[in-house]
Amino acid sequence: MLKKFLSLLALIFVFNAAVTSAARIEPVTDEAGLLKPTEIELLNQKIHNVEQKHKIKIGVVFVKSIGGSDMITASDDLRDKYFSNGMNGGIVLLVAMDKRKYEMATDRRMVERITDSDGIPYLKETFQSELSAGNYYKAVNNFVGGVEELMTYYETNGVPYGVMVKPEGLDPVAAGGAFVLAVIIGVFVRSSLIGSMSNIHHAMEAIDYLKKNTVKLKENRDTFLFMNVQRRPKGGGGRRGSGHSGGGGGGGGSF
Amino acid sequence: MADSSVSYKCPNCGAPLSFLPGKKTVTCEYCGTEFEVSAIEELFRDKQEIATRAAEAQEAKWETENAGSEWSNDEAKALQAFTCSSCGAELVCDENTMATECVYCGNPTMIPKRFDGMLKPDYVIPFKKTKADAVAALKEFYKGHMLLPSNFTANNRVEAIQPMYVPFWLFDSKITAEAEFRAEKHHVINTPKEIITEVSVYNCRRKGTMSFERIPVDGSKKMDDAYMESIEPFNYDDLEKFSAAYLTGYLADKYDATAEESAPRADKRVENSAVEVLKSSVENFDAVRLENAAVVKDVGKVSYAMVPVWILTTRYNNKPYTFMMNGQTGKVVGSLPYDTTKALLYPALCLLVLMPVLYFVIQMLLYQ
Repeated sequence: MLKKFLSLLALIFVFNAAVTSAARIEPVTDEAGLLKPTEIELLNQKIHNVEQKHKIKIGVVFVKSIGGSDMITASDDLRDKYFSNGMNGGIVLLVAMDKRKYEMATDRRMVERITDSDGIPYLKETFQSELSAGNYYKAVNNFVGGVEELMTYYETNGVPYGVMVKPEGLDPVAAGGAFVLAVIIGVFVRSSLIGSMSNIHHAMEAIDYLKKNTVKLKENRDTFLFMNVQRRPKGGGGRRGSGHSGGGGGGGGSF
Repeated sequence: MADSSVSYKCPNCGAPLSFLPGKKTVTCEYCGTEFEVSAIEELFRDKQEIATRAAEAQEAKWETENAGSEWSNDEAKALQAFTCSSCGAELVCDENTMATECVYCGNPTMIPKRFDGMLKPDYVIPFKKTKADAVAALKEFYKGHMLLPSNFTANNRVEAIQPMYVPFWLFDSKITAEAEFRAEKHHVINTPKEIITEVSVYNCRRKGTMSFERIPVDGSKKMDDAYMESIEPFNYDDLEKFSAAYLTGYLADKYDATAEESAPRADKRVENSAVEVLKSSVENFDAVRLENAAVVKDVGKVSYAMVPVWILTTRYNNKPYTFMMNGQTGKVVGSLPYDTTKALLYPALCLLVLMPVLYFVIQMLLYQ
């Protein structure tokens, strides 16, 4: 635990040193030396444009290692310290090269716009293959493009990507669903009403005729055979619940 | 190597399981589950034993020869019989009682004939419920059924309900039951990242003895078995040694299904109940499932009794509907006709009321 905490402190220290040495907190921080200065400049410019347009904060951080810390904690910490003051929320993409893992962290406002269940998987689709192929500039470019698409979708439709848009007037999906469910309930009601007309049934047991005081157990043996272990990751499918702190969300993977 | 190995089935996946004698554990090649060899050997030894017991159970017989007795000449003279010209039912009563209509089919033509004997019952449960009780209970039974046709009760002839002693075989048995259950203990561990569920599987073996007293099985082929089983249970505290005097004013049916023919129904019920008793002793598990069982009858005695039943057979749209009341406890059973229009109307109304509610609920779920 202490080791993890110290590793996290070290990561924040390194990142602090990087961002304070610059004139301002830039969106892209490349501690792993993967991007050219010109590429960083182009990406920062693009991110600034998206940030201004949608009133959000976007951060991309490449590190060589996060030490003994875990990706979720590290990305949450970066989000909370540097990228959570956007009016419409903030999102951070942390990439750790030693483990070849990445993690996105969204704050409580952003998770309403980019959901864990649909938005985060959509973003993964946009950049994961480029990350695997070592095209880091393209990966970040695609990530930023993805964030912009999802923000535009939210601003246009009023709901995040993946959530159905409520149509005006009669909703055929809801109407169809309501009809099918009502028919099922109607059939159930009919069967119940018809079933209630008879109380005739076969007796399958003779427990009423058992002489209780005659029951004598002569053998009572329990033998352990084997054990099955089932593991289920927490918060896999919901709009939230990815394990990120502070009411935010996110998700990650390996590349 | 193959010569010295013994093959069993994996208790987890059912695949063939091979292991070498002398080894302590074996792993199933198909599902990867690991077992203690001693546990597997014990499991299959028990299965073999239960299979042997099951074979014995099929050979065990009921002692039916002592059920019932012969009537004396005087008793026989005081009885008369009636045959239904429609369904052939043969009813017996004392010389002062008349069978006015068939209790089974409602046919009013009952042809008198000479009483030509039947087995004299060992016991009788006397009628406790009067005709007034039966009529009131039947009227109450009709209430609260939304689909009952409006004109059914009007033409129902409730007053025609008749009392009848129905022949029953009463089976006493002392049994030895053994069973194997597959039981599971679930242990859930919550970690920050995942939920781990450990399912420990056990083989639970139970063996015990128990006695069942007077399981009733009707001895009348014309009487619907389901009806007879539905009016149970009977309280045997009121059971009396049979006397022809109990027939005064009542009809009685002659048995036409022998004790041997009726015994399988009692056997099945005993087996189910014995397994349930053993299952209830498999405690402190989260799931229990029966694997196999054998119930062997150590003692199986049969007696013959008359049981009181109020019966009404009425017709609606040319179809007979029979209602019965347990003449001892007052329990009413029957199958009512239903109005097909009402059977469509009520669900349709339900559908109309529910649709808007469901529409808004679905919308709320879809677009939350």
